[in-house]
Amino acid sequence: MTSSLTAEGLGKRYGATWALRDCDLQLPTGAVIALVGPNGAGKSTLLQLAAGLVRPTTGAVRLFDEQLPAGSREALAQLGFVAQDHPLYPRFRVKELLRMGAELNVTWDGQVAADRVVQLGIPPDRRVGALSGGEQAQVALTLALAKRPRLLILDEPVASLDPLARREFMQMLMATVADGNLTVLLSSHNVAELERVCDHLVVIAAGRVQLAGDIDSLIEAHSVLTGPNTHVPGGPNVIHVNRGDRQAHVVARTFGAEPMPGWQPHPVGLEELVLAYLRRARSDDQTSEAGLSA
Amino acid sequence: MIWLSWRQHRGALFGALALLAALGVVLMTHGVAMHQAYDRDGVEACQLLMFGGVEATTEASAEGSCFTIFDSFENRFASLPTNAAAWLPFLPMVVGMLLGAPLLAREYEQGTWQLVWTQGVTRTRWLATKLAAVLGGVVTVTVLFAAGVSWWFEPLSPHRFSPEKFNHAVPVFTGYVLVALAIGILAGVLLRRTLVAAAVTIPAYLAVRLTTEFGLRPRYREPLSTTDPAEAVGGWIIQDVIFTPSPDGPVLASGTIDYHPDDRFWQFQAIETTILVVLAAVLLAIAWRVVLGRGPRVHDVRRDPSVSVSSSPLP
Amino acid sequence: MFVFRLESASGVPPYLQLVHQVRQAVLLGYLRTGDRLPLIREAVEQLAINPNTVSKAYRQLEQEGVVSAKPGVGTFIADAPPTPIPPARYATLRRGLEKWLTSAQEAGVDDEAVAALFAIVRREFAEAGAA
Repeated sequence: MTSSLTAEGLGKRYGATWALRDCDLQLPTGAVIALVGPNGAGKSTLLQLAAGLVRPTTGAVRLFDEQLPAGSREALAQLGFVAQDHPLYPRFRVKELLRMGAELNVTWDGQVAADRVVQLGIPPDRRVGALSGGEQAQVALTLALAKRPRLLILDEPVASLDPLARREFMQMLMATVADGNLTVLLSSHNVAELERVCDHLVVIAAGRVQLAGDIDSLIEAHSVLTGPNTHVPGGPNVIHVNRGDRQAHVVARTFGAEPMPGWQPHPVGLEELVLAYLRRARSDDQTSEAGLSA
Repeated sequence: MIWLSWRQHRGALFGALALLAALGVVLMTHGVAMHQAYDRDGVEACQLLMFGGVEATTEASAEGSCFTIFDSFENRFASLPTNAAAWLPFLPMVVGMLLGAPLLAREYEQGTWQLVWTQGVTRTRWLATKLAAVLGGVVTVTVLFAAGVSWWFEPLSPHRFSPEKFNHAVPVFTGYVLVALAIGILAGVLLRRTLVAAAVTIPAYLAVRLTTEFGLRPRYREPLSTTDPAEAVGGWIIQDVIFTPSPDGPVLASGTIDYHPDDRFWQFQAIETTILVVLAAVLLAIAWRVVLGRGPRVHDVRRDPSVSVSSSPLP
Repeated sequence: MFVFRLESASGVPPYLQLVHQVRQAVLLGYLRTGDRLPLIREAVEQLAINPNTVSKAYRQLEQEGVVSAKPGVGTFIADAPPTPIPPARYATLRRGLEKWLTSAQEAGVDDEAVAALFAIVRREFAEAGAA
């Protein structure tokens, strides 16, 4: 299997807090991978580690089948990265930003980048600080794509954009994916909008990977079981139980097998699945904290 | 990479050139006239007389006429350079605050460290090129500036160890600018906030400056001691002395005069400059380690046997 | 060019929504034999969805015989689609069918039995009509 990113025992500690811990991941190529989790869960840390912007405390992360170390010149040459809030130099004109890209990168498709800027209706002479949020996000994406990267990492790329800008950003991104040879890893704390765009999922909460895999397979392997409140099953395949007065909904790993008698299976939606794992992570966290303080 | 450094710091470069141009204007209008009057009216001899302890030359033997010449010279020319000399010690600090502090702090503040360190150049190369460009530019401008100011200040005092002359000679002035710049850069790296780093530069620079100029400078070598004021002429007297007038000229009231003779000037310049440059280098080395220490270890490609080594050399 | 739409919160997987839309358009006559469906890249740009979703939908339509793919050229509506149904009639027929399916489900008849029942009745109906 071809891999775009491999993480082994990856961890990062800031002072006394672990932002990310025991992270083992292997991500495929050619996919659009969603990195989902609540704020402060470790998403940005994982992305910064993958881009070589911070040094891991434990473990390592490597890119592509060649296992290039994150942050090495070889890895950087094939990686596009857009950080949260798409930072750019505000006093630079758009064309100067493109020039910066040309100067700092060996592979650089300057003509495509310039054409794209014009296509977006952004005047190349305008200073970046004078652009709208949506335009800045588009410029940041253009810069990242002009490197012709094999892996594109986007940290909450549309969080601060209005709905129209958001749609236009995704249109450009998906069109580039359709052209081939690109893996996209994008983080968000909004699951619903990722559903139409992503085919692979990583759920992170409390600094740990809770779930990872191809979305279609994950949906197939899980179900929501509805049944009596009194006989709720337990075990490691039960992810989350939602109890009513008489009825309970259980999100569980069923692997397509027949449910127990008395339990109605329903297909699980992506958002429901993610929430179940996040809730499980939160109660695990609370249990372990209670255990520590006891 | 060179273009990027230029584009990011061209504001500073223009400011520096403007400063040089302003100095040039001052030198042409004020400095030239001052030098001409100095040579023409024989002010130098009178200065030596007024500053004490030397036999008058034939051109200004009468103390009375010397007083007039000296006084007239001072009134016409001395106020502008003396005022400048009072403010110039703070100029290095301003360089540290305006150029040094934002150099790295602004990248952290704006988040552009995440942009520029994920392009194709490694952090090492980026930092090395930026520092080389900034230091090169600063040193060049400072040397020219200090040369101009030194020339301008020549007529102010006959003693080379006077503050106006010693502080603004090319080596020492450049040293202070480098130290202030290094302080600003390191503060920016550690604090990652431009304004705070600029604020911290002030007391740090003043501490270095006051310690060096007033604490260390008199002690670079053992001063010579004498009771004859004539020996100490032209040198740097490092303690307060009381003279009593006498028919043969001023005479020492009590104790001995401790002084550094004038011929130690360049030696002291070298010592002070070395101290400042070494301090600046240490601060920059710390900043370098901190910036690169937060990043990935890029030499792993060679060490890991499972990785195929690329044909392009590592930076 | 044929225009897709996508309802995010409908509960139906995106690729199935595309399949349904193509089938419905063929039934209603908006798509005719030989019409080219949007290229994957065009559909992706329209909708901002994952290209795999579009290719999955097109593959399923090809399996059902609704479209045929010519590599390098595009995906085209296959020969001999069923005769188009006028929209009003389509809505009535559809509602009737949904009602029937609901009562079948309430009676506990599973999908296979429904399909079998329909096939049997349709065959007998056709035989009765020919006779």
